Amino acid sequence: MKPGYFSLVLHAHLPYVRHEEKHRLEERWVYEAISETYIPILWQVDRLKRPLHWTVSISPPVVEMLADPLIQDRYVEHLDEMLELIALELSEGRTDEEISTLHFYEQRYRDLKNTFLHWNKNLNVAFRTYREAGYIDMVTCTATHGFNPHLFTEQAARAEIRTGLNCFERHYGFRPTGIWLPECAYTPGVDRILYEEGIRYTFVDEHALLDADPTPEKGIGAPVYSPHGVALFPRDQIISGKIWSSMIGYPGHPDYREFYRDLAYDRDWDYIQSFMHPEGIRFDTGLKMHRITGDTDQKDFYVREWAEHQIENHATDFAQTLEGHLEAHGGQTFPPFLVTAPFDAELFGHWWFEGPEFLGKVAERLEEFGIETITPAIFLERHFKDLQTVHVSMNTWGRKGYGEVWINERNEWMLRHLHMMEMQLVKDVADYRDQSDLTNRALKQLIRHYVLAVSSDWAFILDGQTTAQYAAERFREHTRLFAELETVLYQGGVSSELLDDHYAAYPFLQDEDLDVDSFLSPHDYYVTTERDVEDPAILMITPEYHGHIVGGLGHRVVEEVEARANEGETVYVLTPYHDELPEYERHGNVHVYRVRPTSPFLEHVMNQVATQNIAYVKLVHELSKRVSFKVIHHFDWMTIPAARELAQSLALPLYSTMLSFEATRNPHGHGGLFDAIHRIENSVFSAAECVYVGEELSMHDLEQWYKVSENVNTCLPLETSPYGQESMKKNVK
Amino acid sequence: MEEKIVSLKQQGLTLKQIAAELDVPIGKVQYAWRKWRNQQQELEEVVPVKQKSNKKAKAKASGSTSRKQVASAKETVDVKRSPLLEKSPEGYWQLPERYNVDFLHAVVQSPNSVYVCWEVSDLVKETLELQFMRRWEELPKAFRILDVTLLDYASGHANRSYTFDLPEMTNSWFVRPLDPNTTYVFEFGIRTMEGEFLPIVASAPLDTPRAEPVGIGRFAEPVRRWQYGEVESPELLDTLPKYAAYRHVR
Repeated sequence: MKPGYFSLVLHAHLPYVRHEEKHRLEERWVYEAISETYIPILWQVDRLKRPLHWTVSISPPVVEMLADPLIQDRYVEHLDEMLELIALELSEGRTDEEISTLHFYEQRYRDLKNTFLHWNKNLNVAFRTYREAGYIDMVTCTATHGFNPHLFTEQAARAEIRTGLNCFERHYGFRPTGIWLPECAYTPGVDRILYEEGIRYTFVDEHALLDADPTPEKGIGAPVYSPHGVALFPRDQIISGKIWSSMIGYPGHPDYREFYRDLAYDRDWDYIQSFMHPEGIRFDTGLKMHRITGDTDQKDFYVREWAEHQIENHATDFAQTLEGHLEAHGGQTFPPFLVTAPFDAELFGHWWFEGPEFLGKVAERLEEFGIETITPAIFLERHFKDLQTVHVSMNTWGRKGYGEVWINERNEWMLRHLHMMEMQLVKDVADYRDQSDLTNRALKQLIRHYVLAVSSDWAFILDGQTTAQYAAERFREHTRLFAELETVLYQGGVSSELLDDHYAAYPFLQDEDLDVDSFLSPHDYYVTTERDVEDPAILMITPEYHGHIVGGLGHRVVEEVEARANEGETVYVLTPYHDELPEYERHGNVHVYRVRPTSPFLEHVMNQVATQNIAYVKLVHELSKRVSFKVIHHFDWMTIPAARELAQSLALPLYSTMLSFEATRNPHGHGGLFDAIHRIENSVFSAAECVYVGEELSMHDLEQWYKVSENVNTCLPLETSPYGQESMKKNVK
Repeated sequence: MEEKIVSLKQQGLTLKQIAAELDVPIGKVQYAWRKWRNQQQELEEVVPVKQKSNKKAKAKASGSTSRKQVASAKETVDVKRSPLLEKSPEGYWQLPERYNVDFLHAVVQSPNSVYVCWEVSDLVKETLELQFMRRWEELPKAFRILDVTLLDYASGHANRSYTFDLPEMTNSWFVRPLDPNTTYVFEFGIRTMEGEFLPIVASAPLDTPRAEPVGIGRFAEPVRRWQYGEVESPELLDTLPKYAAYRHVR
């Protein structure tokens, strides 16, 4: 054996395109992948019948579609149609070259059918059998290929990962320790979730390591650990490029089959019509009769023997190239040099027709050359102690290496809705979890709708602009179903029949794969199940409170809070944040929130006050979802805008305490700030039920400056509630 | 009094006119009218629910703990339909144009560009209107980019910042060009009378990816400290933080 290793990884993925109605064009994506890639790869594994150390990743949508009886039966029909078309072609008196290729296809489609029926139409069984025999290793992907760097919550990423693993385990009988991250997209933090979900390795593009911090000592010659301990295996672009690049790689050779020239477009419509879409749409049959030929539109016929010859040549060339590459790095130890070559599986067979045979031949050549092929799992078993830990920043294997394919002017419109669904799911799980079996089922169905919407395929297709309408429609459909079901959940109308209907629309994943708790936050659990139940509360908003008392106002607030609390009222005090004081404190039935403004260090007073008021209303908006308020009491002019807005939006009575006023403090005041404060103060008289003013204030002075009405009072003795008994009663639920 | 207010409102009087007519503060009129409207909404929304299942839900609620009663009572008041359920004028479902919430989310497009989308709730818009006594549409909108690399955003410090004006009605932006390997915070806000930028919603700090080898960069030491257990939690940004719906409720 030569020093160093080679690791081949094939990732099989398609979006979930199963539709109950017949003749959906997108379902042909599955047939093509089965005929051209999945079965041909299985043929190679079956032919070689020995440990190949290939790692096959198969995504949950593919797993589920392969296991779907509807798709299985339609695929057999499809094969029969293909054989019918080939028979028709053979009866038409074609050229010798064409007849030779048609015979090749005839045999091939018979073999496809035999293989498919041999595995009882379920290719998961085939992959599982070969994995259990030790010929290949297998991993899976996240539930629907959601693009991790653009998710908003940990919960969504966790749900995608956990659901994917659950689904795979149900079909394959084991839980892999590796995973394929959709689009090889890594983002800091995803490694923490992966590790917690039992994942120990995944794959990234080579610049993930080349630009890691610190720069790895072994470059891309060895995997690294992410900060949370997940091994990242880098794609070797030079070696991979030999295979995937249509420009510099093997697949572009003139003797290989031409992908873009299909028999459907070379025949008259009348002749081919019965094999095409009933609505008159022409599509690829899969019978491609030509070879690449060269950089020309005049394509020559495919000659199978020539292609087979090139497969041999290229397999040998690849082994020699790899040998040279490994020898050049032969000095590397701890760990030995590793070349990782991860690919989309569909490259082999679908795009590069001869690809699966090439892989089989490469496996044989590498054995002859004494090059050891290894799986990442075995590599880690041997060398887990020798990997460096580094920080890896966000990156993908997509165009230009980052997120451009999945967020651009053509697909950005989806993101806010996806983030909204994530936030809603977290809230719904907090509110409805374990209420009943039906609500749990409904929550799972909501997660199902969400994961189907978040598939990276929709953004990818919209970026490419082919079948863009389908992608946009699918996204809208899943979002609509989510919205409709969520509404029914809120209105208490969930029924078993309704859930069955929702499931039947896209019968992807079993309920057992979906874990409601993946969306649960421990904090929400505390709030919804363990937090004390309180009577409707008094909300006080004040610029001064304990820890920050400037003058008489602060003392008055403290005394009022105490007085009301002593009467048994629940009081929420909102006051500005101050360094060294806790953001939240609770004393008996008094909650104190010290609220950070939306931005510190604004220069102008009015703007500082505004950022504080925005922060108050945002906080109360959140609080009011769980806390019932019955009255709002604000102190001083600074809190008026927030108090007024909250009183209005929550339909609560507003009480005001103004110990002094700008104009009475400063009767000669003038200028912009003076006017602005005066206007704000003036607005409170019409908005409040009652305005309590300082005893020393002269009504006469006040009336001179302000539009005072009857609702002005001097502050009441502390033992008297400032809130009219009537309004207090009215608002108690 | 409340009945009178509602009756006058239904006759087409403005809230101001009603306040003058009845000689009561306008706040009281507003309060009564809004309360009545909310009650109506509540009634309208509860009625269409299937009677059978609704009864069951009620029966169940009354049998369970008082805590659950409060929760379910609140839910019927607050949320009756999914925020994602919006009907076009023709009655078909459509993607909502906005959700009436406050957020600003930023995601990486490349080492030099970040996509940002945001929303401002009516609540916040109206608060600003009451604060500045100007209509929301009249407040000039702006966007600020803060470089907070190796700084704590909450401290208010930034290495540098750049503010630019935005057209009205904008709710997303591709922010570029940015520097790779830099920690940014993005803010949407308004420009006040004084020309000062007033942030309304802000992103979480976000690192742009590195675009070239760094040797031993700013992450090397935090990674080492975390790896060797010298710190309790990693001093690294996590782009997928746990989200809590009731994070502000303590």
